[in-house]
Amino acid sequence: MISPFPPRRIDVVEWDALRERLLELGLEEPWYGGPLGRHVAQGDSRLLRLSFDNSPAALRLWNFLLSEEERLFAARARGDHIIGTMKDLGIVPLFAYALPRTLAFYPDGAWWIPCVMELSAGLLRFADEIGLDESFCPVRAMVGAFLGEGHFPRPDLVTCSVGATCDDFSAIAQRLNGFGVPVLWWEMPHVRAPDPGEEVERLPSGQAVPAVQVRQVEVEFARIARHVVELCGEPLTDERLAAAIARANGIRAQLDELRRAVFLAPRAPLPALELLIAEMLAIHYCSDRDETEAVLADLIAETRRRVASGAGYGDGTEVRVFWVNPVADLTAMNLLEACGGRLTGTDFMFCHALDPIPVERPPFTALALMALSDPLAGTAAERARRVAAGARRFRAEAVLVSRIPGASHCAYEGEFIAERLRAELCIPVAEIEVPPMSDSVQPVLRTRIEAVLEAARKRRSER
Amino acid sequence: MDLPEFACFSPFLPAEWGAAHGVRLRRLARLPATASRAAREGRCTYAANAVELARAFLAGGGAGAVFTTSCDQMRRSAELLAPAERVFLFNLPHTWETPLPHRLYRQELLRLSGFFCRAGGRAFSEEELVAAMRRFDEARRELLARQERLRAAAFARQLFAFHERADGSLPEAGLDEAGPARGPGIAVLGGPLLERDLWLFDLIEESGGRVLLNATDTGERTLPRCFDRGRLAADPLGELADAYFGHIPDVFRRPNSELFRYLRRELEARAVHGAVLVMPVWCDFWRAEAERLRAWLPCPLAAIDLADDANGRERARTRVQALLETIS
Ligand code: SF4
Ligand code: SF4
Repeated sequence: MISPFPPRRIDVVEWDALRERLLELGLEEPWYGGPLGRHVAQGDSRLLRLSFDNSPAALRLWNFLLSEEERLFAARARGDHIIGTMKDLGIVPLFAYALPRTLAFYPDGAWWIPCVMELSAGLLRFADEIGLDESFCPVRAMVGAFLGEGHFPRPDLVTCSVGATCDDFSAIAQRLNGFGVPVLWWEMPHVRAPDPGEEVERLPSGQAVPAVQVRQVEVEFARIARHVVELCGEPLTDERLAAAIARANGIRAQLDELRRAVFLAPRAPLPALELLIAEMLAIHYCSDRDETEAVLADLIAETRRRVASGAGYGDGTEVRVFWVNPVADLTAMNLLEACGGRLTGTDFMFCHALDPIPVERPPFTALALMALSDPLAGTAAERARRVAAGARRFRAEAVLVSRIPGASHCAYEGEFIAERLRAELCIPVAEIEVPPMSDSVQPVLRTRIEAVLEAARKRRSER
Repeated sequence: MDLPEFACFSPFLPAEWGAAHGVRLRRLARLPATASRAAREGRCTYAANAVELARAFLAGGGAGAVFTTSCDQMRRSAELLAPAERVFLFNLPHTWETPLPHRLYRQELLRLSGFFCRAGGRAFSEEELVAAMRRFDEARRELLARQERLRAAAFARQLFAFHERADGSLPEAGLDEAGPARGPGIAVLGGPLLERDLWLFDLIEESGGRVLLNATDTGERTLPRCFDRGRLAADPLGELADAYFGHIPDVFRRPNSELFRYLRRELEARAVHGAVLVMPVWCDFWRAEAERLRAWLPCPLAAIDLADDANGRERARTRVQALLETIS
């Protein structure tokens, strides 16, 4: 259903009233639909602090996101195979989705539980107790979520990429393993430039990488595939994988359309927060591929209609901001807009889950190329290059690099990327740090964001 | 002519591989006086010091610096150095249970060989590699034999000197007049130390303990296993790779079960009554294992943040003394 109302930010209480009205107007919801307020009652109290887009498509998106636990437990009850894919973001789940009655999810998603449940789940407290203190990134919440089995069922198989990933995750996954959770570790090499005379392959971004690294990842994927096949008792043929890749590419194309519309339309047809959530669907389809396609289709239809009618948020004078890294507290996306900014480009650390997968290559090769496109596996210089290209493409006027508290890579990358971008793009760049509950630092965050937006406005007026 | 020299910081980089190429692959542990001691938020102090050491080394005419991908911090530290052509980042696999990472390690040694050759090293014959491996192997055996007669800091200094010389020669035996310390046996585990951190061993011994095992990243734990003479003759590169990558237990490896196996074996072999865990500040790998080690070890554990601040030693003193009071 296309929204009968103009775009407007509303809170969760208003949403429940609006939903009643939409039902009267003929809104049909999927089985996981319902009032957003019920999620608050179930503990997702951060929703009370967020403002939401008022479209039926956004309602479906939020209900889809917030019902993932329930859907995972339902899949467990049905006897579906469940694979917990850790760290690689967007690649290994394709092996699962290539097979019938098999799904994959990222236990890493527990990252957001402390924010969404405003620490009430006690996951960070548990992490502290087992020695995973604040020097680790918020993914430390995963151990309690895993062991407690209240947030997701215990997967039948757990994979984890290590090597050129991050120390936080590797260390935390090892602790999980130490608690008796079997982990299928696989090696992700650091993506390097080819040596003189070395055979070269090209990533979809055009970056040259040593062919030998592509072969290495293929070997690892073949190993993972064997485990998946063993678990599911179904052959994982090239045809099945190719079909899974085609579906993934369809979803990536949907997101590409959505992103272009949001970033390039004169007025933002969707708020930053909803776009962040929509992008996240790419990595494991929020445990349901069919529904991901449907949710995105609704968002696209709503966006198209808004763009066509000139509807949207703001008046088109907002500062265009490229955002780097995911935020541990979702309220930060609202804050950007409250400060007068608008999202026009993102690198939430899974851009490789948004890029099209090359279909002209054999499936394992194509997936290896995508894995090697992971910004975490390469150099900060390469990541900065990609951010700069994205910022130019979407005409960003400022870049915000959001640091993740405790994250091993941020202490290095943040400053490096910021410096490169300042030099290359000549636009204001600022680093901010967003903790899982940013309430106490919101005044500081606001000041920092406002300062960078102000600098961008000044630059605009001088041009 | 002086041999081209390369700085490195990882026990997984065989100095004999450098020696076979006619270069010195020196593992550095002495921080220049000019180096900044300030710990930066989020950055491991050892990795930050490695950058300082490598910078000074390159500025002083070193041919190159070799970093590894043993952790995110070291991997990213390599990117902070310039010029990039003089920096080699060795892809050190974290997994080890399948043939692939072992193959990868060997491939990386060969890639490192290319780097050495581009920077003044030379191609070598198999005999030269075998000779270098024998020399280093004998030196390590001799070094380990000295341990019994040395205080812990003196033994650690000898290890540092051996790694820094990187030509297979040993420093003077320099036996302690005082002889080995007495008191309850202590194992020191954890991350890498620099020479200026050796006060920790003195502190343990002054507090009444005796260090029986230096299982830090710069201690005996990270020495390669002794070479097998038969395999050394048949396949020297294979033997080199296996002695290092196939056998050094470390916290970053996945899984890191071999580290625990090693500790069990070594603790059982020595009369250890307490353990000191050294955690470089902002090192996720060691910090994450602290509580697990505390629960797993058969003896009490004192965990110490190895920070660069002035209060660090005082905090360490308090913890070590408390540990020794508990076990005495
Ligand atoms: S450190 Fe960064 S990449 Fe690693 S789990 Fe945390 S947020 Fe993700
Ligand atoms: S101490 Fe830890 S963080 Fe530092 S270099 Fe070693 S493994 Fe990396």
